[in-house]
Amino acid sequence: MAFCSAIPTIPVSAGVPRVIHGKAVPYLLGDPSLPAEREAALREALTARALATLTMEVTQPTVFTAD
Amino acid sequence: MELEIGSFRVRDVEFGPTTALRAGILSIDRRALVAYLLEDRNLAAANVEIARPGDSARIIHILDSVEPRIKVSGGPDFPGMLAPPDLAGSGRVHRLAGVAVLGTASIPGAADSQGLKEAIVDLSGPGARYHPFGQMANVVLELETKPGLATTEAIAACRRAGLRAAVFLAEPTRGRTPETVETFALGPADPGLPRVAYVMPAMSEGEIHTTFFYGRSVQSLPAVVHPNEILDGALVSADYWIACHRSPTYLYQNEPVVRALYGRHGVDLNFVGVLLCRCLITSQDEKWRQASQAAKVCRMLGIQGAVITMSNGGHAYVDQMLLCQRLEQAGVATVLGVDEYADADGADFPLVTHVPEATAIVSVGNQEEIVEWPAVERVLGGSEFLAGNAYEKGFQRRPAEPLSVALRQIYCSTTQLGWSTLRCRAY
Amino acid sequence: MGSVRVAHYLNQFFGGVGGEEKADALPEVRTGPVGPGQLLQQLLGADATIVGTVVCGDNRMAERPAETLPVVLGLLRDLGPDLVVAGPAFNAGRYGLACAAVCAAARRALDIPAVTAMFPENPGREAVDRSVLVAVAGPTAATMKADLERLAGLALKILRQQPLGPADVDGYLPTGRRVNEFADRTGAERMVEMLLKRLRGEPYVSELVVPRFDRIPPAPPVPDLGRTTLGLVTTSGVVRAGNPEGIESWRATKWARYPLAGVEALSPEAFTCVHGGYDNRYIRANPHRAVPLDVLRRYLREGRIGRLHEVLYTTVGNVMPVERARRLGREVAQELRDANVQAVLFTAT
Repeated sequence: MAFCSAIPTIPVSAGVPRVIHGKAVPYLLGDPSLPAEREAALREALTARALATLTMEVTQPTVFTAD
Repeated sequence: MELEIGSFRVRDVEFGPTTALRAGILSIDRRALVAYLLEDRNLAAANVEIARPGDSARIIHILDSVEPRIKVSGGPDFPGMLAPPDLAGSGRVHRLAGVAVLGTASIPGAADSQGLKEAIVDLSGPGARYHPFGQMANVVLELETKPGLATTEAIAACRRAGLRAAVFLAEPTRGRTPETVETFALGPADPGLPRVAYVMPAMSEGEIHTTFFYGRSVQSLPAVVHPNEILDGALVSADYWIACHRSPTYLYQNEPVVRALYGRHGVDLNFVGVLLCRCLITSQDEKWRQASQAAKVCRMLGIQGAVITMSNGGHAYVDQMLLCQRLEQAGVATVLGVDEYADADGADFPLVTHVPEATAIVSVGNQEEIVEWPAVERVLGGSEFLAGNAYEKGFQRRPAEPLSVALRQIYCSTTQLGWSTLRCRAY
Repeated sequence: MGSVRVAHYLNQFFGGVGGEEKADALPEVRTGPVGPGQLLQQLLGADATIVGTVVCGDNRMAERPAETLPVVLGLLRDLGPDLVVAGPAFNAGRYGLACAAVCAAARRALDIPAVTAMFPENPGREAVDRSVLVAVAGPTAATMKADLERLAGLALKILRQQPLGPADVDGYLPTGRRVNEFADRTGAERMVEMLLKRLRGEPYVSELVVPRFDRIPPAPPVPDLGRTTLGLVTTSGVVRAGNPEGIESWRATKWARYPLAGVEALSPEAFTCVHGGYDNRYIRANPHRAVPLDVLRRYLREGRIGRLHEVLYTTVGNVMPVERARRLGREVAQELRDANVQAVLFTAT
């Protein structure tokens, strides 16, 4: 499972192994302040990162970011 | 900075031909107060009621509560809100002890996820001890805002009204000698005493729900604040969200941790100051930034121990826990004040989040306990519970009927500033 | 209350069979109280009688629980007890685990109350069933008398069906139940006092004890996303317009399951957001900000993901009680496993 959260502290404290740090609470995989194309690219970067963590070996709760 | 708080004890409040204080009785010229409030054209109507301890009365739709005070020297009332943001915390302020102004309103259209939440107090029966106002006379403002206003403007008008009413009611004390005067100053302390700070994340979420520091929303970069500023009106609450853990203006004016630390200053500890910061920060990066900065400031000030409270809930607990973690990692001993979500039966895991460094926690109670309180004769603030709380089954009743709701809906019942003696015990 | 029947469980050492060299001792039963059971009997008084004691080696129970526990249970059952008492196990780990197992089995199979005693850091503590009370004991038998007093006190309360006092008063390990009460000092005063104790190096008791992190064993990585079936789960509260399943904005009780077959994207006309814990207008304006179906559809077309499980699981995570969250999580995990979903993208707020 790849767990996307804007507040990684919470799933980390619950022991979730693969945590992807999303953008913000009200827009996890987006940013309304960006023009549409750049926001789409941000969403893709976060989603791609989340999917990539599924292929990684992880031994303890780890927070991943899009860059 | 030296602040004198002069108290005038008020035994009772009544309406009268003038606004005056005589032999402990505050008389209020109701018409004059209403006219004064309605100088703000954003208010369409204002009514003033009095509710006394022991009255069979329930007050609903509470927005904020304010202690009547007037600054007689050393600065303006509520700088940044009613006056330019000059420094608070020195000079002399007069307070009416035993009175609170409670502002109430229902603002149409404000019931969505960013709107107002219900907040209730009972003045008699078992409910009277679950909020700070059961032992004092409450001057209740029932406010109506002009139709068509944006929610932010409407709420701001109500907020201003509460502050102005508080100053209006304290006006009779100008030029008079208080019964008691407390002097607040951080004098020199034995260098052998531990250096202690009060880390105070105050809630700020957006335009509608925030805390004002000299009229500006609190920021996440910690501000070094003199405790006198907290006691003297620098902080004004604009939190109209979940009732149980709001930190109202009244409790900032009478901040319990500040007063407890002041009481020990020079005796058991050296109260260095307050680090005012923010909770409900919406970005994790900024939460981390705040925590590191707070730890840095503590190190620069040689802080050895810190009390960390918070206000509100949800991911605000993350802000508090991260502050705890970074401070502990920087060698600061911390104690947290936390309210609990242990479900109605008390059996659920009570914390939203935690860090291993949080080894010293004071509980201010489980907000999910269901209370059952009797019907009342009189309801102030409105005739029906606010629409935005439809999920709370107890709100399907009329407000005068027996009340069966979670403590969550009771104003200040689990405020993390620690004014109350309520807590959870482990079974 | 006539004298109730109590069955006591002890390990090989306290049962007088022998020391470590006898840790593989087979279960046996003796009449009446044995070893520490004798003092326990005195403390229980006339209201309860230890009718028999089952003794078993710690290694026997730890290494072969499947065959040993039923035997122990049978011996206990034959004693016809109204209550099972195990230990005290102090800080002995295998003994603590054995006591936990015996008590849990007695609760379930015999449907009678069971109580044990151990040091709070005994590893066996984690294995204790929630319905079993654990009296606090010291780390070694040096505190046997005080520990048995505590154990006897709890046993009698259970037998008399009397309500328990707080954990720190009646001397048992907190069961996790939190009860509101009014203290003698305000929260602020207690915060300052607790801080002073910490600064002075004095002992203090936290009013809330933070647990060790839940240990979730990480799933092994998937070798190739291009050959993986991906599931999609969210607690962001994205639901179909009109919220036909009635997912609650707060303390949600269920999932909505939306077929995704033929659904290319989550339009703001067809989908909305009902999460009551954050400003949800940005998600309502574009639900992909919480559920990135747009990206996943493209990746499917490009072969970067093998398959998408064509059901979106959605609920609202706002103030959901932890126990309910566990149950709902297990429900969906089971469904996903039954559908051969190999990996999940989970979005939360």
